[in-house]
Amino acid sequence: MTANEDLPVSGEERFRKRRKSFFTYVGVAMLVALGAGIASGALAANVSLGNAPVWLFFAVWAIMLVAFVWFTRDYFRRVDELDLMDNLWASLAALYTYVVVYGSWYLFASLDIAPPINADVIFWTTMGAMLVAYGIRKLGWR
Amino acid sequence: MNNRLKVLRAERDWSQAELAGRLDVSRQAVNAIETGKHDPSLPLAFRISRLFNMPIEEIFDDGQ
Repeated sequence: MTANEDLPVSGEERFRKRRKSFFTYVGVAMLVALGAGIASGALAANVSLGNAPVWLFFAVWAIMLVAFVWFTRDYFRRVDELDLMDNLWASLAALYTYVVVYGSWYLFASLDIAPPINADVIFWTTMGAMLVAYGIRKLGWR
Repeated sequence: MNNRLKVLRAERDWSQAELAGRLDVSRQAVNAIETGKHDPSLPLAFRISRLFNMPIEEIFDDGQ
């Protein structure tokens, strides 16, 4: 047997610790994202009322962008290769959805057979496609 | 790709969670590999090989 089998902590214990650590990490990240969203919304409202300088808004926006990129990179380093694959497939499904929906809508709108493009609808459709594709992968339909 | 992971795990009376903990992957990853829905990367295949102290080709069979 290998040394790995003789570790003092069982595989199940390590598995539970890993899972708990991961969900704690995701939970904290979601709380931070929620707090950042509320804070940036309040700041935007104050900027629009003239109570806060515009540069502060851009500074906060830049910090949030860097934090978002950092979290994404860190998240992908924590998940295992299967979840990484699930994320990549979901991202590909989202990209295809975006290209098809935006391209088709742009074409139809230019022919006046569809209303003008709505960015919100395209954004949420793209997010929805990503969640559906991720859910399908998580259900084991690989 | 066929593999003997489920048999090797059963021989040691390990659950999927036990194996997942030893390989530092999720239980879903172990399940997906066992059912042939996911082929492990080369680094993970080596980790599996070292854990069971067997050559990779005795665990995985690409049918060639």
